[in-house]
Amino acid sequence: MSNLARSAMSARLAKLPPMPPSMPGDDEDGDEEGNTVGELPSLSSKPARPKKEPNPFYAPLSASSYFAQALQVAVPDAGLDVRVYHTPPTKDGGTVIVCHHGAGYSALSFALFAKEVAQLSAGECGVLALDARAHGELISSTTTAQELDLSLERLSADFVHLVKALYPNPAQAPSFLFVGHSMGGAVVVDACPVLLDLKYRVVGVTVIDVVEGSALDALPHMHALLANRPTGFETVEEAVEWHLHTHAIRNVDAARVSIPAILTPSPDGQAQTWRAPLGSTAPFWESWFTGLSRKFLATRAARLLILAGTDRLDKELMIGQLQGKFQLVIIPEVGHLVQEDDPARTAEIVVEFWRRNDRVVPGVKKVGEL
Amino acid sequence: MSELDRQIAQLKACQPISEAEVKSLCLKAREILVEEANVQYIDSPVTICGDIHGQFFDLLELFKVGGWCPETNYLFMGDFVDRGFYSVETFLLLLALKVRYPDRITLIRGNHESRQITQVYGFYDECTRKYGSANVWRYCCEVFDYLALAAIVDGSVFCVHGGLSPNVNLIDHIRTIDRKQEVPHDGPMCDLLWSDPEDINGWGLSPRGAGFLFGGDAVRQFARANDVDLIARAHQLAMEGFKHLFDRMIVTVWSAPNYCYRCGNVASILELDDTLRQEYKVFGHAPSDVRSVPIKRPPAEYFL
Repeated sequence: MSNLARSAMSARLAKLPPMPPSMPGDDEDGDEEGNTVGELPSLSSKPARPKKEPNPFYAPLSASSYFAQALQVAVPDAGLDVRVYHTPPTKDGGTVIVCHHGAGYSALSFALFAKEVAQLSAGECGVLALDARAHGELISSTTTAQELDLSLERLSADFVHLVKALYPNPAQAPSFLFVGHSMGGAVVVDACPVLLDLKYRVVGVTVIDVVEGSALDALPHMHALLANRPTGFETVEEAVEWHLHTHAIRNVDAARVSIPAILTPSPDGQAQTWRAPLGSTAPFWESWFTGLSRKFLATRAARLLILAGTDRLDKELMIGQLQGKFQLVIIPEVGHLVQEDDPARTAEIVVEFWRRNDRVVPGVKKVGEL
Repeated sequence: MSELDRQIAQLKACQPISEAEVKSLCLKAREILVEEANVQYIDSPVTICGDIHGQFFDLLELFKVGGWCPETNYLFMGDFVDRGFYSVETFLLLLALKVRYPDRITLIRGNHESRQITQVYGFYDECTRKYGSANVWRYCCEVFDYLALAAIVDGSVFCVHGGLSPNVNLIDHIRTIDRKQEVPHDGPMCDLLWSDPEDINGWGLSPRGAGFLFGGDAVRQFARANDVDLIARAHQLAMEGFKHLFDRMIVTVWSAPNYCYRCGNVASILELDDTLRQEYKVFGHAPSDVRSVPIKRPPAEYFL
């Protein structure tokens, strides 16, 4: 990052404590005395009726072990204060990997991944993960209807506005690598050409575990899938346990970091419910995925698709792959939350992808370069 | 009828041979392949084929169109396995023909003839499903390591699975590669199996994550330096079965019709007669057969 961008970032950072106390799971060490955050919705708010004892094995973990900073970024163009987690690259000329989560999840879905990336790249890559509107810790100044506008256009514009707010000058911004999981993949693919047109440097785009064809095929089943989720949990620990037992997430530590962020106490304080109203986003589902394969193949930067378990390319991607238009990596033994289930392998693939496409031998054109 | 002829007949009927038979076939194949050069010299006339990818019934169509081996000489440019549902039968049939008629059929290596790739794209799973263990897969992978990297017909048609490498100017450079290994992630051997021609000047990084893109100037330079008239390669789906680039200096030959049973493409083979005149024979996929139709995967239980 340039000095200017760094100082711009720290100016914004200065307005915030490095890790706001409202972060679920700040008391990871289990120290009872740490729970003194009275006025904030606390995970330990006392219930009126007895609950079963939370299992410490599933206790929340703080994001502070995984990211260097948590900050609220004012993005007036989007009418949002966006919660962002950030570990900047420690070397000049480094790349920032900007990560967009899938529907219902949050920036902290990339927590373990971020730590792995920092280690693997020896600080040459930073990671910046954001909460989308109606997700995670995001605060909106706009009306509820707008807040719940999860159309691809809106999400993509939010992403562009956030990058512009953080790095107003493209010439001085670091180079980027965009990573999107599921719905987030659709967002970064849609936003990438806009940012390229604004002269930001984008090394590549990585889409994690979503393919237009199979996503659209799966949509009719999604209401049933959602209906089968519990509406809430007594405790955060119970929610973490549920995600592990149903194999939604297969990595205890990942779930302990990511799950607290996608829950919110119910109005009566008795339970933990889902923060993002996924059911009401149904009108947008099709818009997220329609045209994804075409746009992905047309991206003017290196293209990486990471899939969980098996190859389920649709016809367009199959033809694209066979014509050599993108890189495909399939990670065995993981579920849909690839970056949570196997953060080390995901980071290894993404860092290798970055290295190959950023560090090009002179005289050899980069992907997308004419 | 010899044991080998019986095995060929059995494989032609799409029935796998026993594990013990595979083991012995693979051993014999290695004895033959070890004697071949990295760039195998072959004589015209020969019929050149691209990717097959386990589409066994379409391979039978190919032989119907091109004639059976040994009546027709064949060069297969790799990617025998993965993605299709009959990689075992496809590769073993080609290998049995190789052992039976070593001078009539040449097999060179594609990027899918690799331990790493076959574990992801189906051949490994198919072997364990059909034989109950990974032994057959292991025997086959050992054969993969012995396959030639390229071939040259009458000294003037250079044939390779992927394409050129910025680190290989002369065909003689290829001869210095120690090929008996898993396909590396970079370097000349990787590039030969992974690169693609593209309408650019010079060289570009391949979007595939391995190998390079090479332009018309790179092709012309290579052809001039090696006294080559044509480069034939496979590796990329060509919807019309074959595709010329750079004033017909290079051609992509694709031999898997309706690839993966859903791409809707036709396939082709390239017949070179004894004057190296090129004739492309285009063919479609095998008539629908219950056995050749893949099981539709249930929708993924995921989302958003």
